[in-house]
Amino acid sequence: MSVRDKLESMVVFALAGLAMLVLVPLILLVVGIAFLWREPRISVGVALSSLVVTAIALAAGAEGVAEAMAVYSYFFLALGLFLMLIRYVREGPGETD
Amino acid sequence: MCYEMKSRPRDWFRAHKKTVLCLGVILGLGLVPLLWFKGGLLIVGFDFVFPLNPSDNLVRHSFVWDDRVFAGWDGAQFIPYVFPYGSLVALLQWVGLSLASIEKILFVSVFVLPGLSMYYLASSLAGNDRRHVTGLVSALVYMFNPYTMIQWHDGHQGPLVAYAIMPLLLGLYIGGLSKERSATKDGILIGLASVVIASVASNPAAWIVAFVPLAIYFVYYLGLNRKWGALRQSLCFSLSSLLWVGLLNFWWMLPLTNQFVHSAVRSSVAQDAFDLVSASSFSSFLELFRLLGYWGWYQGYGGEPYFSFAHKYSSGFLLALGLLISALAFACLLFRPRSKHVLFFALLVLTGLFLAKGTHSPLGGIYEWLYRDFPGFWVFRSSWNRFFLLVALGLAFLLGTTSCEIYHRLKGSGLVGGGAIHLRRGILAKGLLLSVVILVAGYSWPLFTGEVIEEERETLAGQYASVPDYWSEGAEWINQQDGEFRVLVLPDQGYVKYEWGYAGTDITPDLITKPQIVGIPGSKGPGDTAVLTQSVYDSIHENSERVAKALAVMDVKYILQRNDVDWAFYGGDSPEYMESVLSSQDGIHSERTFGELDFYRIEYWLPLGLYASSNAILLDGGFDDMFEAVNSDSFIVGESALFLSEQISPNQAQLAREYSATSSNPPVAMSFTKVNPTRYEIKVTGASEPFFLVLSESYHSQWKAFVNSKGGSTNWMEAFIQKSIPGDRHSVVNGYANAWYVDPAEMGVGEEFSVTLYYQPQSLLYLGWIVSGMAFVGSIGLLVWGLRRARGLEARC
Repeated sequence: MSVRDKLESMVVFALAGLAMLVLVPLILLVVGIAFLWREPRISVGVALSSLVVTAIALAAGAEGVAEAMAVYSYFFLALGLFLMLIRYVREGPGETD
Repeated sequence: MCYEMKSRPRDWFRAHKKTVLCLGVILGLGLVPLLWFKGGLLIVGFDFVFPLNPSDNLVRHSFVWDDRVFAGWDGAQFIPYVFPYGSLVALLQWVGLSLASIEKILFVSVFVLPGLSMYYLASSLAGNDRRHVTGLVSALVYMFNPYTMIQWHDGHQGPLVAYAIMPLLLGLYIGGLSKERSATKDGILIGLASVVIASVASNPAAWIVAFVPLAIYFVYYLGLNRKWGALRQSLCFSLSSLLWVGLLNFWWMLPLTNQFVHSAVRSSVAQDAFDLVSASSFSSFLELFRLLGYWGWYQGYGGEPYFSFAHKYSSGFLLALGLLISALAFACLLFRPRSKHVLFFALLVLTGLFLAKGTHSPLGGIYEWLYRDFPGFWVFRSSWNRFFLLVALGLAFLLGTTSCEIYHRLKGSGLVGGGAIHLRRGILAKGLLLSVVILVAGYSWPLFTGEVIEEERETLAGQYASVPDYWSEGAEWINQQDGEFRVLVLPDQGYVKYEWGYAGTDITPDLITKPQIVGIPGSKGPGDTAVLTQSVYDSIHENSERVAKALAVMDVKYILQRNDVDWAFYGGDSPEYMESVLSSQDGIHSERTFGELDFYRIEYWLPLGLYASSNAILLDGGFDDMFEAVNSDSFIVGESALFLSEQISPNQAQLAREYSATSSNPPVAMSFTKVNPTRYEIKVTGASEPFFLVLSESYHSQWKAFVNSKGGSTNWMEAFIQKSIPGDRHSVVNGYANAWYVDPAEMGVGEEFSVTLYYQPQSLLYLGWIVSGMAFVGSIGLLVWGLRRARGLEARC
């Protein structure tokens, strides 16, 4: 393999790596937000699941995990609430509310 | 007609059966504090200051100048105590109730009020078919939760009162905003409700925080209703509510604002930053979701935890339960994702969690920035104490809503099925509802078992106490001594632990009605007085020979040595050492002993509350040189006025220098009457030459001297406009007191004239009372007029 071929393969490898590191999470994020946008309750559900995991981790003595999960819970709740508020402003109250 | 009258109450009861039942449950469970009492013992101590002498306390705090402690200081922060708390306690004492009975009434009231207030809020926001279940569950959760448990334990009754009224305020505000017509009645009711928590304003942050949910709701409401009409209506209603709150609370706001402007309290913010960080070190999201996070919960003293039951919360079940309660509350976002009220209370909880977290990570820097740089935010130093009640309020409503949703879904009213299925579903739904309430209330089980009130432990004191008889005897004896004088209280401890079981803010200023030099928690008194007092305490500790005369300069006639203080607990000198010091001092003599209380008399004492001095001494120096000067032959107690060059301006020093250089300053005759702690009326005769008028109260620039040539006095209104002796003629004397240079010739008065010494902020209090009184009469008048008008309309319809 010539030096040029080696360089080419390295550039391709680097681009592929960059795509994996940046683009894939970005796409997942966009898809995730779009998904949550359609249904903000998913975010709240994740937060509540995190709280349950926090409870289990805490009871099992894994305080570090519990601390981290509690922080995730808070931010997922905040995200869910934010999306619900946007939806409320756009669409108004639900039928039973 | 007769049948109608008889059937009306029955009909009314039938129509309101569920409401009556719910209120009955709340009132019944509101009696829980009665389980905490033991015999005739009072529950006192920690941060809970229960007035042992309610009527005296009421009178004492009706004046902006508090002459009881620190050689006098601005007591504006205690003005809110007067109403309703101080008046209520004094009234109950006047009726003839014992202190223990008064305390029981107060405890039950403060316990039951949050339930009633929360029931009003939750039931008015929930739909008609849900109001009882949502209201009852929310009310019970609001009464029994870790926040109330911790506040009761530490004796933070002020915040608990604010906590109690907060749902009522929010309910009235939401109700007022939702009305399309004028909501004057709601605005007035918000104002009146704010007066109920006026006594809380001794700690302004605790009072302000009761209005934070209203402010958040206002922003939330505007965000949801972005129309000009809604904006205008909400602004008008909010401003009118604010106006009523301001007018009805004007009486304490005015003197307190004046105190804030004239104090250097802001300068301590930088020093408190460390406390801020340490207070937040336990309030992580994890602990907050567990409904805990208060620093005292995790700490102790002398190897004993402050909360004797805290360790039980480390069990696996209780660790998980707290988190599951939070999860259950937030689950209503799944059931009601488009409910305006559910979204608001979730927002309130998340805001409260973020603020209660304080400087704890993540994003702890935001709170620190607010604390340091946002004007006025420094009052929220203790983040958990100030903001966790928002979390409790929001969670109570959310939990009530979740429970109601589950209840209705399980009950499945209207579902297809036989009667038996329906019955089973009903039982299951009610059982589940009961389980939720039991689990949530059970999480705060020390409220039920009484463990929330601590018993005495090996090192830490308990909260049950009875003041020994010798205290009453000693206090009665000293209170009956003639004349005005001060008592120096030893040992020097603001927080004090007595061997008979009490630990907390000192009881001496409550029992002894004579002015005294005594420690007060959280304050060292006015600047110069604090330094001088500390010098006196240090001199006694070092057994200096110069103490007695220095005490006489501070108008101290007696020393009270308390031998029943656990002197080693907060650090100090033993009773044996103090006895050896005091008995060896020249000019100090043992006078009386009552049990563990020793009274000593100062030989050099002369009544020097107020005197005219023609003997000025200027000392180039400060406190270090003062003790030597007052012990010299040239200084005569009650005649000399000693100026320290470090305490006065160069012009004042020059004046004192020139005056002291004059060899023949004739003495001035005067008589005076102390009208109240803020006013002295003086008659001066034979004042042919200038002299110094000395008032032995802590120096404050707002003490004013009004000279009246025709012998009259200056009333509180005239004090706003009448010219007083200029500020450059008013200086610190004797190290701490006030002196005015009075020159009859310069003032154009003869040899006989009168002087009114007046602490000017008292006029602000009087003005505030008038404004608030008028607002109160106006608000009641408007409410009655509105009620009559509504009835008239109803009758016409």
